[in-house]
Amino acid sequence: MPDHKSRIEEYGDDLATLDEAGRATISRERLGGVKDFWPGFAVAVGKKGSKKRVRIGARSTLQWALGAAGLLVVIGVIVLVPKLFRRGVPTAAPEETFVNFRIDSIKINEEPAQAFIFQTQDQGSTFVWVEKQL
Amino acid sequence: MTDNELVRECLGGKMESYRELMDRYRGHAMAVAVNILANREDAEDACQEAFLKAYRTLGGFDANRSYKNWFYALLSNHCLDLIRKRTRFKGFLRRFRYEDPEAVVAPPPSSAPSEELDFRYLRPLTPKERTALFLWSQEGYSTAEIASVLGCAPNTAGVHLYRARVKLKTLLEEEKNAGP
Repeated sequence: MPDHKSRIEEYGDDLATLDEAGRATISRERLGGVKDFWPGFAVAVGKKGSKKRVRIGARSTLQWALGAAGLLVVIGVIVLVPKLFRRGVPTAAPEETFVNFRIDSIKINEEPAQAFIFQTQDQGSTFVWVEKQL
Repeated sequence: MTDNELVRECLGGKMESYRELMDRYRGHAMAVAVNILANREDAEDACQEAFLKAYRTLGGFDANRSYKNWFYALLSNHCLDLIRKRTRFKGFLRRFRYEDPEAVVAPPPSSAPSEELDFRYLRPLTPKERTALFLWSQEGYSTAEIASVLGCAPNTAGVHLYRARVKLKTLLEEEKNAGP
């Protein structure tokens, strides 16, 4: 139906023309210089080896599940540890209850994972979002 | 040398041929990704990952197909996956009763402030509508070719394109009525 409509002239006024669509989208020319992806590719291929080592299917799903479980543990620790610390030291000044934590690295299936740390604007909560590197 | 010849050489172990393919398509790839993701930094990451993914799945490439269309399909799928992942993350944050996840999430450390491209007409469109509009207007694709990239029926691709054109027209009309 929409395809049919687009061919009928009386509906044409409701549709952006090819020229208008061309100006609204980003062309290769408007992008300017494009990054060379080869160095990053060469590093990734060098690190992870040949195509034969690519793992797919159910095992990959299991890895994701393990990764997600690990992430939940990290979040749990980050959210709960400051609260427990505050409970245990009720008379301490706010400066003294501040908990410093540091994560040096996170691995999923023995390979470095990509980690993003998000800080909220209230109560000093912090989320660590971990993704398996592709 | 054609794309398919380069693919054959690459499968034979000649890495330089894959480099040639990457050079040939990096501009195309960035244009596709930038139009779907509406963000240059995310598009660069997506292209980097898609080239790696394409290399690893090159063995499954059907030599009777166009490499360009095959790669576009892989790249657009990857971009749509990234958007779905991001949406899931926002949903996860909402469970903590934050009103607007965008407002509380700090940008990832790698993102640089480079927003020189104008995405105001693309952002109101869905990712599939953006893909269809880009392939139609910049690459001259038919609905059948758009369908092969999006992995859907030609009629469905036609619907995505139709909706994109209607939305874009409305935006342009609104802008025109609002004046300079």
